[in-house]
Amino acid sequence: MKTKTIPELLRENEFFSELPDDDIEFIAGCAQIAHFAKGKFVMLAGEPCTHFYLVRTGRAVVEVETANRARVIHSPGPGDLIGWSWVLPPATWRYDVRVIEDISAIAFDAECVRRKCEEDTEFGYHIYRRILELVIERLMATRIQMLDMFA
Amino acid sequence: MLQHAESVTLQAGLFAQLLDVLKNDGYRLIGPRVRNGAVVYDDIANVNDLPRGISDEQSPGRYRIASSGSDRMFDYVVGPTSWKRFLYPPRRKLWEATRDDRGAWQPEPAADECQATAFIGVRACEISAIRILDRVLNESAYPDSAYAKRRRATFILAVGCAVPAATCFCTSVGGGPSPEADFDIALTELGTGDSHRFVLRAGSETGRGALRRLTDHLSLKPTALQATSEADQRAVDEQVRRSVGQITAVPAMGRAREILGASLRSDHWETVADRCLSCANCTMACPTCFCVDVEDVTDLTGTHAERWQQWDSCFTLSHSYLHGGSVRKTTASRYRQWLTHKLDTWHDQFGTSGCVGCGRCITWCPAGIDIRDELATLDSEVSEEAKAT
Amino acid sequence: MGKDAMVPATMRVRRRIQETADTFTLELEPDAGTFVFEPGQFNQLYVFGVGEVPISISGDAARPSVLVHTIRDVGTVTHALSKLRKGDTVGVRGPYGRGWPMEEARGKDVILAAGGIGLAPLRPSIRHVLANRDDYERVVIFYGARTPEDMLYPKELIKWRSRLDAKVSVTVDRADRSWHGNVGVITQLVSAARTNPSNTIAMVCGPEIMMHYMQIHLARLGVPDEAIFVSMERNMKCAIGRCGHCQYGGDFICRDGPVFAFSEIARRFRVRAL
Repeated sequence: MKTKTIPELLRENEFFSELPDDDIEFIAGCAQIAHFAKGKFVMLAGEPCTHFYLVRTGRAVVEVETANRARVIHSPGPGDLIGWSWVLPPATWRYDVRVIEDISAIAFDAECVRRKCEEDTEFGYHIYRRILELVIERLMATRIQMLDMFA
Repeated sequence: MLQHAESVTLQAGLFAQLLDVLKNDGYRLIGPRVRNGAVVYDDIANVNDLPRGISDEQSPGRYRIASSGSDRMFDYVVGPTSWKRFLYPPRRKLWEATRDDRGAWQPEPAADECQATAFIGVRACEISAIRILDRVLNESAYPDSAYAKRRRATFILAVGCAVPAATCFCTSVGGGPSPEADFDIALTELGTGDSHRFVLRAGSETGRGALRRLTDHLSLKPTALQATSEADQRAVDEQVRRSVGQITAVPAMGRAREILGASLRSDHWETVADRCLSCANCTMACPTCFCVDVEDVTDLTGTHAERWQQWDSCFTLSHSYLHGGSVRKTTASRYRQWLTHKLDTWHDQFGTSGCVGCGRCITWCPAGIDIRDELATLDSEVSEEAKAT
Repeated sequence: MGKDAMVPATMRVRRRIQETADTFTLELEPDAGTFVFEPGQFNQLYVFGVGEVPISISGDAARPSVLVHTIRDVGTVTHALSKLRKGDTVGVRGPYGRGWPMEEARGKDVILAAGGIGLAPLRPSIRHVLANRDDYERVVIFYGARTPEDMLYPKELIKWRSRLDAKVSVTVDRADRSWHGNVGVITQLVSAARTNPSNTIAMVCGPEIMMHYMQIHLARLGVPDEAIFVSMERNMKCAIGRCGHCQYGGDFICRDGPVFAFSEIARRFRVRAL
């Protein structure tokens, strides 16, 4: 089986699917393949947001650990984007993201993408709109979680 | 000739004989009588129990009986009781069971005593109400056998309304003051004093049988019972016309479904709720409201259990109870349920309206809420909105 | 005269299974030897002297020799039911109501989505679909629970997940580190259904709030309201459309439901306190 290129992988994801080829090529230039083994952390709370990730395979959990207690909030898997705090610099991660199944992901250089967003506002509009959609969905999900509807 | 008459005229003084015939046929008589300042339906022994010379005045939240100064017997309109009380009792044991030493038990349906009963003085709106109860309780996939039994054992002596109340609106919900069908005998009261008389019309085989026995009973006094004259028939028709003319039309009733269907989110429910006490009087007085709850009871030893059915009302908080709280917590939502069910969703459920225009819910509302006015207000809201869009 | 619908049959408890901290299953021996029902129907269960409650049937419609109810201990009667042991007698009236659209779903993609205790009323339908797998196209099962400890039928879920001919996704609203599955609400699973929206039947069972969000998410996928089925709950006392308590607009939930196509109730669904 032929290995897919990063631009091909990006086009398959709804986050990037509407971008013109030029932009895909550009953003692919900001990206590289990354692997995280089970038990490792994709990101840690308090660290600067240097990269964000598009999960291809595997799964992680977004969690908060305080004193003796860890709470899992969300579990991104294939097709999901991990990390959006990078959008508004200077930013640090708010949560730990721990790998529970080996992850293969596309890692984006946050600074590279952000600079492009600022220089090319049409591209920026598209990316920010997608991020907003993502944030809204997470917010909705969090609100439903808060409703504790199965209590 | 008399034997084949469509209708007969009976001298008022001999009305007692008609009751005697029914009694001799084995019927328990339930009819109107004055009790606690109102005309209620209860057992009657004879004609003297009927509310002779009594009329009533009704308006939203108000009911008074008065002396009519005449010897007529049916010049009152409907009171707080409805025939529902006798066909679908307020409280009835459904079944009982006794638990044995090994914890086993077997339910026994409650013995349901039901005597042949004649309802005396059933109004046209009340016949409509009984027909509605038939639909709800009898003509379903799971007929209520106790209701069916009572209904079969019921003789209906209907009476046309000579003096409608201000709260009556039967003519706006497809009815009228004169019984048209589904009775055994219908009577119209005419005149006073020496000319006081009843025009009787049989509406069923049972009714014809009773009239025949009345004829036999009175055979020694041939003038007491005669085929109704043309003049009397005209007098009956005239009385019906006059009654119809006295009943105020409620045009919005004809559009009730459309109005209520568009009003589920109206603010007006809150306005009604400011007055509504959620007391459930309207549902108890209503001749068609059929909601019932069940109550489980045990004796002190815990070995005998009974299950009772009793009238319930959509105005109680427990009516819509679900784990976690009631669905209809506010009076506004409960009033909306009552009115919407009665005039709109009843059609979805049973193919008819649940309202017969008897006006009981208006008279017996302690806050004087008048469903005719509430519907009219919603109607104007809906038409305002329609204009705005 | 036929048997009065208000008088229960009596059945013995054959087995009691504790499912979660507050939820248990009663297996009853049908008085007539078998108890025939359709997935999605319910019974009225009566505890001697205490009262009666509507409980959906959660067993296998293809195995009528045992009547299975999974019950959450939340009220007086369900608590009394929780105290029953093998050999005790329960009053049973039923089965009642309109169930899941198993026939309508034939030849189509099927999404079966349950939340919390909602897996119990949906289980007969899931079992039916899996037992008659060839009658259906793509089969997707979603289950959302509050925590991993609150999940119903965990062994059966593992069995379903091991099948290659059904996509089974489970998620919990919250978990600690010992949980290795999805964390997040059930609506987040929907986008991964990958069914053909114009040839999909969705059966959704859970609290009204969960069905409310599921309908929004399914509609976004393109599943029409006519193809989204939900199981509604209201106060059911008689179960035969007579006592008036479970009215939901023009429908009696007990008689016309509990399962409705969303299109049938869409106009009412988001009206408060109806």
